[in-house]
Amino acid sequence: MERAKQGGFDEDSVLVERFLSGDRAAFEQIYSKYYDKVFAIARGILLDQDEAADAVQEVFTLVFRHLARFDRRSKFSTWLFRVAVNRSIQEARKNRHKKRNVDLTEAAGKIAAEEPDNADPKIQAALAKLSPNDRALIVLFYWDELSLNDIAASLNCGVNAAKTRLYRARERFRVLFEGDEA
Amino acid sequence: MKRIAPELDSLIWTLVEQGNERAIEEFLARYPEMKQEVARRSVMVKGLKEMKPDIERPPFHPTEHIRYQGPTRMVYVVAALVLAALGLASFTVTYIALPKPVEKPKVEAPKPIEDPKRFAGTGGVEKTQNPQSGQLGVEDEPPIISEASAPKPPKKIAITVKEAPLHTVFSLIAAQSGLKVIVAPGTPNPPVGVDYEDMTTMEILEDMGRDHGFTPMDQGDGSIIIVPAVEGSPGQKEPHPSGVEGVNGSKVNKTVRQ
Repeated sequence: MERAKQGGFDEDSVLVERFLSGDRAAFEQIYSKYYDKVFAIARGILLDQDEAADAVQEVFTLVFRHLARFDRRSKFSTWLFRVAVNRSIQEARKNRHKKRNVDLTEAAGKIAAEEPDNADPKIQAALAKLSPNDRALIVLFYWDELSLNDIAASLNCGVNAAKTRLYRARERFRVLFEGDEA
Repeated sequence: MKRIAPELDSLIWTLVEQGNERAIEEFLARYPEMKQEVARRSVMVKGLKEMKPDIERPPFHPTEHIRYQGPTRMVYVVAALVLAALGLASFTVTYIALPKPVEKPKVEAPKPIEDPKRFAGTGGVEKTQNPQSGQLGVEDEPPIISEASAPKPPKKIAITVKEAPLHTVFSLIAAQSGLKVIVAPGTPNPPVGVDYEDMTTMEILEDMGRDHGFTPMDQGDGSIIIVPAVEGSPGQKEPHPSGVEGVNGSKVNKTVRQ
């Protein structure tokens, strides 16, 4: 498998090539394989189930239309995550302007009401107070369980930069979480 | 809260993120004071991981309309308008603040030589060699100095001097005409008497030059250079007629006493 990756011949590459040759079923496979991870990214950054579902459809639509632009210098998955992160952050910033006048606690409470039973309201409140960029790092690391290398590739930065940014995002999250706890 | 050493902090994060119970127990056996910190972080990380959404995957339908992709066309239009306004404002301020440039006088091209037959086959200017000095000089004609290049019509002046050195007469002419008269070294300075009326400075100087062996050269910038004429030059070659035809055809009286 490692040898296959080094040679640029992994499963994703095959699917991409098949899709570019006109096989639409290959894209369905890509979609099925990565939907959960892309949704987790969108959900973590946007903090809204419906917004995230729309964003994911848009991300896959963009990929569907522009897959020929994928230059194969990185893994397909990290390219896809980069598209998802950028698209979600764009949308989150746009929404932030819309919701600027809404009280943060009120917003966090609203989000908490939409969450499934297993969600910790303190975690949600802390997450809601983070910036979209910090949320992206937290989500890639804790939800999608990406390695630092993959996070770096997904955020288009170096590994050390990704490590530092993750550390800072986690610290900010911890301060917010423990502040709420206290 | 007591500050935790960076390497220990990093180790705690790694332990709680991996969730290896045995490793955590071993760590706490070594650092029992970190028990609360480890517990807090474990709760946080566990809570974070449990928040991962679990959603049923809908079928993929390419979206017709992508809601937002970078700046819209409107943003570019507004940005272009703002830049144009800034450019215009900058130009206006600069235009107002800077002093207006002095209008340069119109410089006309020198008039073509009226009698081309005289220069036929010589490439324009006929040159002869001075038999005494061996220098090349221009036959009969003074160097073409474009009087038309002056910004205004030449000012006509009148000057009467009974007897004074030539250089003093130049100074008087300069003072009257407002032009700068530069006298080259070697120009003779004999005592002269002049009486000119209704003539331009150049006409006066050219006339005087014929009598006293110098050539005035209009530089076109408000200055005239007086250079001594070489022997055989037009100034000394031909005797000057007693009357000079003025610019407007008026007869001008002239007397020269030497």
